[in-house]
Amino acid sequence: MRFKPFGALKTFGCGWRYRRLLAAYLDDELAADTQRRVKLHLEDCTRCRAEFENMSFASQLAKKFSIEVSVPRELPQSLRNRINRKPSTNSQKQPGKRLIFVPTAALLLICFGLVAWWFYTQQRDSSWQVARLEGEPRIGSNGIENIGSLSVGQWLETDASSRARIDVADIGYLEIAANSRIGLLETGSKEHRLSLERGRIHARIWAPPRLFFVEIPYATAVDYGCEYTLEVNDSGKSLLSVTEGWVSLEFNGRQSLVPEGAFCETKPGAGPGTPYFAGASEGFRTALSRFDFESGGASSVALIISEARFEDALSLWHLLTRVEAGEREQIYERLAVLSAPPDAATREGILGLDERMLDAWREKIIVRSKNLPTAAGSLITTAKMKLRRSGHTATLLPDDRVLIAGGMIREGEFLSEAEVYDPSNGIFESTGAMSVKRVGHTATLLPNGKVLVAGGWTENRAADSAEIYDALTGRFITTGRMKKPRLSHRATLLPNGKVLITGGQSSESTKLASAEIYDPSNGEFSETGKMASPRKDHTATLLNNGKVLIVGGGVGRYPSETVYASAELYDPKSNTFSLTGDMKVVRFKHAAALLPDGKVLIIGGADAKVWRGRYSSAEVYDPARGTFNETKSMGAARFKNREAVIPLANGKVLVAGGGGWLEIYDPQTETFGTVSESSSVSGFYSAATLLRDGRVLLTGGIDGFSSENATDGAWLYNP
Amino acid sequence: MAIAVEEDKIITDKEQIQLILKGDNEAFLCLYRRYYERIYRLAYGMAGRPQTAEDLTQEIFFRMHQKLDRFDGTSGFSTWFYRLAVNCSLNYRRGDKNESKMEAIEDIELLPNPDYSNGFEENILKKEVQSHIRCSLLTLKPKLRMVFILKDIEGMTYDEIAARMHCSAGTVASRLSHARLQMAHSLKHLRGTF
Repeated sequence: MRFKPFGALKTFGCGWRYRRLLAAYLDDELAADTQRRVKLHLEDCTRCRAEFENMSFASQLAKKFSIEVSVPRELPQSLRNRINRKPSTNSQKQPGKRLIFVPTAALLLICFGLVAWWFYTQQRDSSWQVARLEGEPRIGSNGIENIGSLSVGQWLETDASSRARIDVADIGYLEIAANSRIGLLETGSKEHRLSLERGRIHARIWAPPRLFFVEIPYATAVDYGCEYTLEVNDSGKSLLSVTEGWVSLEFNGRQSLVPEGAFCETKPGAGPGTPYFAGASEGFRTALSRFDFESGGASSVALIISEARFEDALSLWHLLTRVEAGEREQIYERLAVLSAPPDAATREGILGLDERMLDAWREKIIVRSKNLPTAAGSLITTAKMKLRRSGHTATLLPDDRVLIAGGMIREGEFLSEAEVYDPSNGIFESTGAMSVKRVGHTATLLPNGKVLVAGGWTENRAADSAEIYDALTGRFITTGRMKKPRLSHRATLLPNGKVLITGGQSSESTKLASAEIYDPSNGEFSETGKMASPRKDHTATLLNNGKVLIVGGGVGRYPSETVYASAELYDPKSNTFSLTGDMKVVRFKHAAALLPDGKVLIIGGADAKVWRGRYSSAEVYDPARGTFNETKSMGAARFKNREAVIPLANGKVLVAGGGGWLEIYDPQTETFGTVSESSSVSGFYSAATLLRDGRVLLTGGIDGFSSENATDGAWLYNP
Repeated sequence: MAIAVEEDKIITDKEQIQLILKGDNEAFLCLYRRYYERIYRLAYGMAGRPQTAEDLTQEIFFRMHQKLDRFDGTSGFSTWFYRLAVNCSLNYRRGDKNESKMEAIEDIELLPNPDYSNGFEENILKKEVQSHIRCSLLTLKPKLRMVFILKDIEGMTYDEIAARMHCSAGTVASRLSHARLQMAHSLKHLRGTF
């Protein structure tokens, strides 16, 4: 039997309400419509999707749990003895006792329920308690010493130096700021209603939706289980700011649904305007205000559309029902790009203002809006890449966009295609393709703003070719060839604008100690000094002194690989490599990041046992001493995440992918902290890119366990 | 209804029960062998170690023998027996948890070196993964552990589980969500192992 959850699923927010259904969704045990709703929800809710992936992981892992059982030919002696000693009988049953117990328990339960209900209703119907927080708030003409009570018909007033708190029956509380006047209009089991004439309140309500109302001039704020601040000035204008849950502002049939993180203004005569998020651009907000309150018309709509970003989808959704038919089409086109309509909605239906379709789209937008990375330390899902990718590169371009190049969809299916992520609208768009398919290549932003892509695994061999991406034309153009084909090599931009290419492997059995220099001025590669050891899957980090630190790596072929603890320094002045101190352990497939004090953090990787030899440990290289020192370990063992470990603008280091969840290394405390347990970002061979605004774009990766395909997912992390 | 082939004749569960109620110990042996594997797997998942699982299995069969006269045939014997096994497992030696957990952990450390010769990591890690799963199962509360075993190891449907655990399919879904999340959390270090 397929089961349906209790109550309607149409929800503002998800919480356990959706999450408790995820197991049933995974097992296809939900009724069809519920299954569909959960599917839609998962497309947009990062948190639920992460939990769903975790459940899927646990479920699949359990399939590995097999027990070999040999069935005995005879009954065990002890069991035989017990059976023979105690023949089956029902003489111990005492039905009489059960007959007495059941009605007694039922009677007690009923009595308890009646008493609880009496207390409940008594509490709800009583007046509200008011506590003085500061100064001398007044109820009517009476000042409140410490505790007072507010009855229906009474008004509470605060002056410039006083504040108060009202406990709203048993469903929440309000803090009344200075210079406010608020009255209690009604309180009962079905409705609690206040009037805020002026001033500011901060409300925290945990009642079911539409039980708590605050009337303000030209609108009523209706609670949907939320926390918000509502301010009304002397001219009757108001500003609503929602910090948790939802508030609906309603006036003469007009409704604005304001979610967590959003604002909404109300002006005399016009009622509530269109909600917008804190991150909305100045231009967008101005255009919105003109449209809402100054009869801005078509010119405002055009400006709104041009300024709208990924985060403004909910504002556009509100406008669908507020604009003329012609403008609605324009709004639809833009909104569909920012947040694709759900399967249940058609273009014709939306343009015809089909209520169910509009609701479905709003719900989808709402879930996504909740995930906006407005809070520090938050991770959200952004639009998907055009293609699934792992082993790709993601390079920040001078125009703030990110070039995503190559990689593989699954083992053996490599990509020449590239795409560009635009943080201003949160969208990936295709760009020119590379001349060959590449995975395990390098991509380096050159001082001239172009990107050098070199080597990598092509169809069935390592590539010696290289090409240059020009963001202005959106094309790749081939440049000089490397002296050796290389895969799992490293490329490092030197202070002189040239690029150092180190190590890698030319074929399954040939690992390289050689290095080359790419000169952008002539587009040629030339050989430079050799490393002391051939290395693949090593790291190369530019130090503040201009030298390049080459760490670890290995040679050989699994299962008889040799992995190094050694490290070398490349000096661009002499074009030579020289050995420096050794790491505490051998590592390859690890990652490295430069710290603000010039030291280098080395994390994870593995020894020759590869999967069984994965590390959670980390070390720090001190260039002044030429030594490695152990630091605290990560929360998870990781490797194969070289492109997903990057220094942040705040001096910390983001550690993503490689089989572990998102962690941050803090050089001050020398510790790692988990910031998100989203398993979506734990894939191998994913990439992280520091954006100009300090956020981090995480792309792709392959789980390798639950799917043989790489993901097309992308995430934004806000440090 | 389960059908077994024994000594060239097909005897249903109900027929076996009739014989057992008449004192036929051979019929009980037949039923014991028919259900032993399934009951042992359940007991092993719940107990986490072979000796306790064997003790629990015997206890379940003993209880079944004791209560067999209460089986009224309104549900299948398999459902009835599993329900009894579930109750018995949930109540069995509750104080024994830590001991089982310790043994499971020690098992992991005592695993022999894996065989690298075939080069496939999936095979290399199989035993280790099994021990980790067994250990993690013991960290779940009994009802969560039971629902996880019945669904993800035994492969029952929600309705089958609900019938055996005296709860609704919704409760099964909710418990299973909790159980899987906890398992995923305690086994997160195995992510990417396969």
